[in-house]
Amino acid sequence: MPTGVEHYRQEWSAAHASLPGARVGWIDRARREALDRFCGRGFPTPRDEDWKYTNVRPLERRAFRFDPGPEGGAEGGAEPLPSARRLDGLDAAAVLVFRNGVLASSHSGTAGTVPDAVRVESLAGMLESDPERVEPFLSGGGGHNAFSDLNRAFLAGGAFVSIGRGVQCDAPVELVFESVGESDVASHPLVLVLAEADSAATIVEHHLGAGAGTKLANPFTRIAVGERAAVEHHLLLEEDESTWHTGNVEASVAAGGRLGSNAVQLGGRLVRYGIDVSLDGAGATVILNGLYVARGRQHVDFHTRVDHREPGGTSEQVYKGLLDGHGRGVFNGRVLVHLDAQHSDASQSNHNLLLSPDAEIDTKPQLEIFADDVKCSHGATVGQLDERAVHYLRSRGLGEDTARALLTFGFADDVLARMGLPALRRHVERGLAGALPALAGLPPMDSANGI
Amino acid sequence: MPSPLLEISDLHVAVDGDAILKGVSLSVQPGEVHAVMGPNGSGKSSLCHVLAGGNGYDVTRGSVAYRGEDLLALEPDERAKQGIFLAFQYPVEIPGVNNAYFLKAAVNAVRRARGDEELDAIDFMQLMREKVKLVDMDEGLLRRPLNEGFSGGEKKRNEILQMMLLEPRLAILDETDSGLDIDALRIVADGVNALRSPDRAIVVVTHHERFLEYVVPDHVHVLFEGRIARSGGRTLARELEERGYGHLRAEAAA
Ligand SMILES: Nc1ncnc2c1ncn2[C@@H]1O[C@H](COP(=O)(O)OP(=O)(O)OP(=O)(O)O)[C@@H](O)[C@H]1O
Ligand SMILES: [Mg+2]
Repeated sequence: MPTGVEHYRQEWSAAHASLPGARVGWIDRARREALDRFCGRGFPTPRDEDWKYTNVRPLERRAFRFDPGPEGGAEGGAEPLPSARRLDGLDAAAVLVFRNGVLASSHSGTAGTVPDAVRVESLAGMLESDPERVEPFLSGGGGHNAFSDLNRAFLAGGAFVSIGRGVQCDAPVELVFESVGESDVASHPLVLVLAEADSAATIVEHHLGAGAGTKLANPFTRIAVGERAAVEHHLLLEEDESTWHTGNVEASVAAGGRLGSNAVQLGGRLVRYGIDVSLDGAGATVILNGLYVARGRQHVDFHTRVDHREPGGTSEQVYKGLLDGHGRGVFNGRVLVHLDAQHSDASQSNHNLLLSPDAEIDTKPQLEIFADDVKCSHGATVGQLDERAVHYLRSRGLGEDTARALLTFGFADDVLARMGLPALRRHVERGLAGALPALAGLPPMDSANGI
Repeated sequence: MPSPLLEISDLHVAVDGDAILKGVSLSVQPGEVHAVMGPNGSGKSSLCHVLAGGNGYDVTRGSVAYRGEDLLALEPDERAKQGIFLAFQYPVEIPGVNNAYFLKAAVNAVRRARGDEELDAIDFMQLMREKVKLVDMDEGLLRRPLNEGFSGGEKKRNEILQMMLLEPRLAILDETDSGLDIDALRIVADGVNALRSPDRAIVVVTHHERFLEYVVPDHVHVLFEGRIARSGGRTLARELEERGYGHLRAEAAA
């Protein structure tokens, strides 16, 4: 059996004619072009500057199978993952659950509190029934890297979320992507979020994996924030230790719009997360918060890019990393302030805590400024716990292990608090507490009042 | 005479090889309040940190006994559990650790060590509200990360709040009265006075004679260049207020 690029070309040839929307000209073209780009470029190697520290050779050597299966009610024989792994108390307006990229309708639905002008539905259905609606967002672009091309080439479904002009959807929309089952299964789901002018919505994307099989989760998310619209996007990655996750987010923000991007990565064998935000209108804002954790032999790579293209835009990035065991982290934050983007305000910070002598992090801020009247700042740190803080806590009776665990927890919780979604914060706090044995002796930290 | 709560004998301490304390001896009986004064850099905070188990202070000679046991052999958290509390001159800011959560964890750690039952969230809240009123602290500070962005005075109040919650047997206050407004000074003094009891002792480091009008000490010591240059009663503080430390320098040179 061939591996590498050839394997995917063969898979594609066998599958493309039966993919949703195959008879729609632009969809077929977009898939073909993406495949050609992917095959032409091949998998990235450490010689590519952007992949210097993240080696995907082992992934390339496997032949991940892509099986879109029949949409709707498809359970693939697998039981749903235990609900305890899901976000508790989210009170979602609508939930879509995907299993290996395929919508599991019996686990999906709306709560009945969704405003009329809010649509949350299967993207596969849209590709068949209303392809014109999604064409402007999916016919071009997507070519950031090999994995976003792969996603587009195998575009078969995912979620379509649109919020009509002026509509405020208060309750979050929850999209769950479960990677389960046997070895060498690949999924390439796509999430499309369209927030029209003056609308507001919160989207929670939760990726979680289970099982011993080696899996490839390769999602792509496209968010278009309209004029003065506000979108909060929460991405929670809890893949299992045999899953490779190579997801990308691409967002555009129109004049006066605001995007909140919150990404938390807690699990996965190798996670490469890319986000690319384009501030396309005057006074557009993006607030990016992120937390990544690498333990054991995990490898995590966060790549962010923000383009300030018009005047008066704001971007604010706060990313934190916790690295333990032999965990390996990479952070690359690139900010481009284009010639026309006067009065832009861009800040970026990346702080990393190394908890073990064998853990490693490479962090690299990249600011490229072509306008002259802008405010830009960045700061990156790599460090251990503050010994003065350890001592202060110990001087109040907390044991050394407890003090260190509490400080580690606080380091991470600091950025969780910025994300502003209590259900997510509680969930991640629990996850972290589970990962830090010394916290076991402490009662749970309730984010509401602290005790 | 009862046995001393704290017995410091000929204590020599170095930081990074530099001698900071050069033979300090001090005996504190239960029920007493001692004031330690002295010019900037004379070693007052260093003395406090050595007692609390701070890092980087090398004891090169001498000993410290607390309730008859070797204090220097104990880990910092062990000292806290045995009733020692230091109000820091510069409390540490700790982002991400919620103040109320920390206070509850500390109170229960100390209660566990004393053999008292741990407080649940409701009982703790009640206790904390009561103490917060006493130190006239904004309740909002409880929900914030520990000391982060607190004003100077807010940090000091938070130290006193911790002291009241932990009910130490030996409280050491390192310039807790510095940088406080008049009202806050009273509150801190009231807090210290409320702690006074026959089985507890308090050591206050201060630059202000004024504070000692509120917290009346049994003994006043002057630390000068790493040694206790003078000890006396309440009146010594007044004398220093009038004459400054200049004459001590002359005495030390003689
Ligand atoms: N960690 C340290 N590293 C280097 N020098 C130190 C350290 N701690 C204390 N010192 C030095 O020891 C001396 C005594 O300092 P200390 O803080 O104990 O003084 P202090 O009496 O508390 O002064 P102040 O009234 O200003 O608070 C000073 O010269 C100080 O610079
Ligand atoms: Mg001092």
